[in-house]
Amino acid sequence: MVKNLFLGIFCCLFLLSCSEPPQPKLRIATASNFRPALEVLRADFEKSCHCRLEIASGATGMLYSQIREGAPYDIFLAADSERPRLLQRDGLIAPGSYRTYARGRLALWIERSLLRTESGADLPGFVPAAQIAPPHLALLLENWRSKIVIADPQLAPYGDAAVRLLRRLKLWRHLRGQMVYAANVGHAQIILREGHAQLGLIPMSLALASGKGGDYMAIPEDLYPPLEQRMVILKSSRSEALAQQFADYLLAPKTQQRLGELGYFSAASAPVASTPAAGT
Amino acid sequence: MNLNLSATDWQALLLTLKLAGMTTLLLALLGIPLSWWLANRRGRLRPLLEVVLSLPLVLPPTVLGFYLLLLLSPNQPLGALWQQLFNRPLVFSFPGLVAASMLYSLPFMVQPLLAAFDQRALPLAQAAAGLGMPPLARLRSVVLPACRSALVVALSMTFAHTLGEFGVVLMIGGAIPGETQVVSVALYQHVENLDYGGAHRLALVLLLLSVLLLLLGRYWGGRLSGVLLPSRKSPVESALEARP
Repeated sequence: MVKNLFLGIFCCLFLLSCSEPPQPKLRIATASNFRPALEVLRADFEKSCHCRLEIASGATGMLYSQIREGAPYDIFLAADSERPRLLQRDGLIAPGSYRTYARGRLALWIERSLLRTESGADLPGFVPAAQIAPPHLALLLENWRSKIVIADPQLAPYGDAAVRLLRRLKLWRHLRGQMVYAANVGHAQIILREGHAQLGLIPMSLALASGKGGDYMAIPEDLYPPLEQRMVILKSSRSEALAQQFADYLLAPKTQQRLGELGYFSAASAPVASTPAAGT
Repeated sequence: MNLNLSATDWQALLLTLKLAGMTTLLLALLGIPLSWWLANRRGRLRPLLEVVLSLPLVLPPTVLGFYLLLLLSPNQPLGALWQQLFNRPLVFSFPGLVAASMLYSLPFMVQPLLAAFDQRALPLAQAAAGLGMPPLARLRSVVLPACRSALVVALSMTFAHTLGEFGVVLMIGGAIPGETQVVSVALYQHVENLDYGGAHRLALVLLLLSVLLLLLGRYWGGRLSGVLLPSRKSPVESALEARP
């Protein structure tokens, strides 16, 4: 009796699992900075393609080395153009799929209470969510005595951009001993959000997505090298058509416009000419 | 295979040994009385306590590190308390790593000791007490000889386990050279940078260290527990075994 019951339940479950046709899935490897944007766009794209997105995120350098070792992703959204280029050089990508999908922005995360006078007004020059002027930025960093959080510069392009910004301001040597390196920008954001450090340099996309208002300021983009974020479709992909559809969706004007609200410049906007960073 | 470690790798290696040493020492001071107390408990709470003490074995270290980040946040009571007591954050510092490693390696210290106390030391000590042996003599000639090998196993396992600790350190360490950049993190950075040469060298050093350590643990612990040489049984133990 009990045996039959179990058999019945098992059959029901089996039939249930077969009743829905399996949805095709697209496996995306994304740099941590783009994860919040991807989660926002997800429902929209899944509706139009009748597919399911499987998202893996991490530092660009980490994902790149995984892909080099044959990790089964369909599409790779990097935080830079360098690693996708290396994949292209090694012949691991579908021809013509090496394209810019967004331009990243660097934000200064700082605990808001530190930017206020005793009466609660904003300090002159420090308006939350606005752009910080270079002299103010240099002054703030120069007098900063505690930890500064950035993503590991060797693995995360945003961490690298942060280091170059400090070098450009001639503050790298001065601040080097105060640096804390997170595994990726997502980890850096958690550290800042939980209050383990009061200042960090993270992607604007994460500063916006962290759900706290006014703890960040935009860094003038001529102070750091442009974060041209490129994507590639991997040669080993078994859903290349779907990956292509996703790439086109990402580059569509409507999507590009939405990326503007999510902390990016559109891919089409011309990068500001950046003078070479002064090496220290 | 050359062992030409870079300066930062040497620094990471020394830091790791320092971390493992400190953690083992402090855990011994904490773990021995804790295990003894637990071995003497016979209540409904005991299984629950044992489960709690083994939790670090099952939680993925990265998750453990993440919870520590949440728990020790200055915006939370515990983190705020720490901040008030020591006026410095626990994360991104060597003392913080020691504290996290103690939590993470706790089962490795407690479990061998608990087993030894339960199965040998306590019954023997009770028997010795029944025969009228004074407490200090009981400790010296009954309890210690019965636990010596378990202690060696506990110490060497704790040390070895802390050597390879990664996830927790990655989450709460911040990879600061000389302060929190331990071997496992340096190794990870080598691998992710596709610097396989540097990774191999560090991995080899770690491997040699661990093998040496486990061999030593086996040799000492083993010799004393009669694996390599017949062990010297305490007089009480012999007397108990001689009884029909």
